[in-house]
Amino acid sequence: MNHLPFKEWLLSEEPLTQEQNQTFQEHLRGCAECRQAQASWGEVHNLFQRTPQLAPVAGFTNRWQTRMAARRARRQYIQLGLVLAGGAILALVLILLLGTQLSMLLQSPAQFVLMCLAQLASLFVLFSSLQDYLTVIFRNFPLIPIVGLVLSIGFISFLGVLWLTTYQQLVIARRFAK
Amino acid sequence: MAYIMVYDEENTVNQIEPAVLAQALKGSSEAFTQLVEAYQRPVYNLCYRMLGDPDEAEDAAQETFVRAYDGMGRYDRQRSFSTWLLSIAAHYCIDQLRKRRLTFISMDSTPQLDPPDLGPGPESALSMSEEQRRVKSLLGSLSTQDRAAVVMYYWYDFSYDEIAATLKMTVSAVKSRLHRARLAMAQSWSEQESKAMLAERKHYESPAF
Repeated sequence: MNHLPFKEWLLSEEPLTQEQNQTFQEHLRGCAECRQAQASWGEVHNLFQRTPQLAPVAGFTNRWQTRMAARRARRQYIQLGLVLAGGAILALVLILLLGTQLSMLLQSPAQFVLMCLAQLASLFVLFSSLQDYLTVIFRNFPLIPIVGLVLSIGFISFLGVLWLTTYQQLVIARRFAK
Repeated sequence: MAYIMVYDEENTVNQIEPAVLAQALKGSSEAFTQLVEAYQRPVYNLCYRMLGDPDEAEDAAQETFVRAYDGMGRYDRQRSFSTWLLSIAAHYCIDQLRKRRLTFISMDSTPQLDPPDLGPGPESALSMSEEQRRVKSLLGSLSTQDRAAVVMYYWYDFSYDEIAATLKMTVSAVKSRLHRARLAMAQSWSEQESKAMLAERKHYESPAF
């Protein structure tokens, strides 16, 4: 016996047309397999209907707050660990740099002093070049008075601080106090 | 003023004011705590139906709220909050079931603990516990996606569209999955009944009777 449309219909929750329903009922009268399937599905459906939603054990919200507080503490701990690790790496690099400088100083003090003087001289040259460049730039913008420049720099700095504060607020705003 | 309704077992309604949701969206932890209070039951129930174990369900429900709290910025106000929240829970449970399958632990091997908070007297609790066990067994016979579709359809009255959006599949795929699931559950029920009848017959045919 072909059960194909009838098995579809008996499991479907879409309403059947009058004609479909009549054909379906006729099939059911002569088909024990479909009757069995219909009865079984009916039982399952009824079971679902009368099975209530389960609730968690009392105190769920408190446990959630505890979990959030623990997570936040763990995050802060990780952040602190990262900062400390970064600091340690930086300190190590500095120690290595200073170590090489110190070893150079111990090996040949005269050469070391000469190198330091050369670096100092190159710094002076760099500063002097920068001064020249800045002078050229300021001369080419005679319309902007010095007060305007100071105000512009001040405004840009203010925007920078505002951005930093907003970013901090957005990142650290939702804080759970246990 | 419009309210968001959350129905619980006794069909009592917890009213969530939109203002609470708006406050939670702004990052208020107090407002979000109210949402946890209101939605704990539907979220826990979904997790329990999916995972079949009270401890795992508790953990999954807790994690759902943690993820929702972290993801409030991604919540689309045009969407129902409960649908969004339950979709987080469903996806988390599906992931957990995948992981569980990878570690070769079947649902049958999870501890058979009584479901919590069954309410009234011992006889009624026993009968309810038996029903919960049967529901667990029926849902356990389905694939994770089919199980999620069935739970959303029969316990949360989700429409086909909502299930499709939540499980990221087409509406026709949802209908097909639900049909397949119903067939599987009807067959499973039939087999369980046959086994129970056989066991009963053996019991009465034993020499003690």
